[in-house]
Amino acid sequence: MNSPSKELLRGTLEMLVLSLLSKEESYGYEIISTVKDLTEGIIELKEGSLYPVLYRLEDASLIESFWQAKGRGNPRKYYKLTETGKQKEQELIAEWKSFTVQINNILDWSDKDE
Amino acid sequence: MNKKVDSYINSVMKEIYLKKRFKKKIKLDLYSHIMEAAEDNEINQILENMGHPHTLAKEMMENYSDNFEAMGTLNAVLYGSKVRNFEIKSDKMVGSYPLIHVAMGYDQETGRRKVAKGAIAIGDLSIGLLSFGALSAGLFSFGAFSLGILSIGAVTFSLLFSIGAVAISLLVAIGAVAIGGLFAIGAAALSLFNAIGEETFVLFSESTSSNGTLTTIKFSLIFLLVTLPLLLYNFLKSHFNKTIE
Repeated sequence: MNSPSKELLRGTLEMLVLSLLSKEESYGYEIISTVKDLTEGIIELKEGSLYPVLYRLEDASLIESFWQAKGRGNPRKYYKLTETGKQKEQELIAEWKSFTVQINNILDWSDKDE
Repeated sequence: MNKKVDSYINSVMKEIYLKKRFKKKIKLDLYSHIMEAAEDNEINQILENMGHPHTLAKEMMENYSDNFEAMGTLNAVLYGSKVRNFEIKSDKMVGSYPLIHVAMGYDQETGRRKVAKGAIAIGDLSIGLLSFGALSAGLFSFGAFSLGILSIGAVTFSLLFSIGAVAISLLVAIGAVAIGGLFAIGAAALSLFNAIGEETFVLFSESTSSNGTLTTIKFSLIFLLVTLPLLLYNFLKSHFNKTIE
């Protein structure tokens, strides 16, 4: 299976990041690794896309960041959802589900005609 | 710190055209990201996975390409000059036009060259109160070919003051070839009243002899100086017809 186009991914990236962070706080590298693992490598987030999205979400107060040292390693920059972010995540997911239902309706209808 | 990491991050940052505070944040986060990844992988592998610094910077900048606040005017011009097909407007407006508009290259839909229109307009073609461009028009215009009230450039036309290799003005022109209504200074200077230079021609001068060629020049000069303001007005009106009446 091919990777989704840049445009398609760009349109859904904010929702994906918010969704991942709704489960648990995370840091940049972990977000990229989680997406890669969950999609069996089909969706591969790049740093050049992820960080601008994290900054946008942070500027919009949907997430917040904090530095935390774990063990003897370097401190990591973690991101977590804010209350506003939780609401926004729910809105985006509802919107996405409704959108995919409508798109599938169109595709099903097209298939029947063939 | 690993020299490869430093070198990689510095290469990325060279192609990030954003204000200092944004660059600082990106640099710190990239460093932190690599350190996070280094707990599971070798540095060489991490850098390879991240891709070429140019690609990372390009992708990062694409995400900022409509963010004037993060870019600022100078970075917008530098980035636009690099990618050649770029347009950005400031959020602040002056009337119905952006305070700053930078536009370079061609519109992908129409195939036409983009025109920067703003209080401050910068681009290949620019029209603004203060305009900079290869072809610029405005109150104060600077460019290879510039048209305005005050113009500075290679070939300039203005109502008040022109400086250029070829400078034409209703009042004062300074240039290698200067044609000025009131005053012209240049290697070749033509004026209605005052001209200073190696070769000068003054229309209303008692010492100027009159023959067929000079009469032609006189009429050409008068014609040019009369039509110049009309040309400027019509040009600006066609682009700002909602605001100039």
